[in-house]
Amino acid sequence: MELNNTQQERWEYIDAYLRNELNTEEKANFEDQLSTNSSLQEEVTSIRTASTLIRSYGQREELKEIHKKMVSLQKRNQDTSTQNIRFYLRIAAIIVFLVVAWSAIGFMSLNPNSLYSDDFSSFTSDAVRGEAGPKHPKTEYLIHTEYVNANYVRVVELYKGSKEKSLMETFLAGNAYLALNQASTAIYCFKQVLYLSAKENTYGYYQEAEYYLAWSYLRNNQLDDAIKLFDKIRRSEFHVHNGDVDSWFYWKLKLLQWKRR
Amino acid sequence: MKIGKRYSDEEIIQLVKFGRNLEQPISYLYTEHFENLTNFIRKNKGSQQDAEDIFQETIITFVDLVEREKFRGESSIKTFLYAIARNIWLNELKKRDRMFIRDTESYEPQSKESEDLQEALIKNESKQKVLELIEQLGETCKKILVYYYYENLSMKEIYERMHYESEQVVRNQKYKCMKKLIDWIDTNPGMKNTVKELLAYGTE
Repeated sequence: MELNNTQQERWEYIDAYLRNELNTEEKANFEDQLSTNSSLQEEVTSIRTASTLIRSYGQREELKEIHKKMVSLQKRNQDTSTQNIRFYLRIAAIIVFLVVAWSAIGFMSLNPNSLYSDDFSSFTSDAVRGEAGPKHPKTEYLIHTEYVNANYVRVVELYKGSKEKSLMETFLAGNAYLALNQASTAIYCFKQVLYLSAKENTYGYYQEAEYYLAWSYLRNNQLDDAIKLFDKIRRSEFHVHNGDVDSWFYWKLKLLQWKRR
Repeated sequence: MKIGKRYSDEEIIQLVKFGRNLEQPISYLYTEHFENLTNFIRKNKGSQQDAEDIFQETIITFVDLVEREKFRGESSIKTFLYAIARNIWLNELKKRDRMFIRDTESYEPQSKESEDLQEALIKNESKQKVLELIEQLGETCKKILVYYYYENLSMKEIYERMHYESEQVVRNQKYKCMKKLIDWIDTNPGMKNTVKELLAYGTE
């Protein structure tokens, strides 16, 4: 390539020099001319200046492209995070809705009967040990046997026919009346047990009678009386039925009371 | 926003200073600092768009300073980026006549690095105006010149990439574009002086 050709060829030669593409001999010849030729020096300076500007511009454009790419990536990630958050919020909302719906249904359907049928367990007793005799008078023995066999009508008949109604007979009769849905008679029996226990100073059936009296109140729609007694059992750490009156059950009772008001 | 490889400050400096491919180290800087820095701008009365623009300018200034060895490692890259962003944003707020900025991470202009930063910001504004000249060359000229002078492609590679009829057509086109640019610089004395100053600043 000759330097004395057109400007275009000269500039291409200068580019080759600036890009270090000339061989040693070409480079030496060019630098010889450059040292003496002022117009060539000006042209080299102009091209160097312009190419430096273009490099700065190119770099800025590259940085702008990276910026665009990274900002859009950032936005995509944010969108994904937002979508994830929305998804989890939806799940949470569904769970909250289900819990609220379940609570509402529970609240609407809550009544003494439902509470009774859900939570009540009737009194269970082992078969009377041994035979009828002085320790187990005949009627008491029979009532107990019939109760264990869930023959509640028979229990009531035997109880009515009993001349000397013992604590045990009265207690089992109370439970039999409760099973037969005769709550007010059951209440009478359990109150009798409490009264006689206190009078005779024998407390074998006292706590059991309290517990089933509370259930009888509930069955008889005497909610305030039931709550009072259940609360007493709940607070008495050593009561035999303390564990049966848990907070959840008590909360349902209070809810029922609130619903009635 | 996460990319795979992690870079130390020193590796980033080396890659920016000598590398042609800025994508990896710069993308890494976005991954590590974009969120915090844009939050900083937003907390100081900037919009999301302001924050993005300031971050872009911050990166451009950072690359410029590193290439000219004006970042001496007196602070971490994170602190340095905050300092750049803070200064650019303060200048922008002054332009918008706002008075208040809440400081979160101070970087007092006491070191040589900070002085260089202030100077770089002033020069950058002039540089931006000069570079806008290249925008006026048109898409084809910009592409050919950037391919040749920035990406160091050969005429053959440019001809293949831009689908010209022949390599000679590219040569002719590149000459015309270059002539146009040089004529603009030569015929505008103000521009010529600014360019000279910038080049002198870049090589001092």
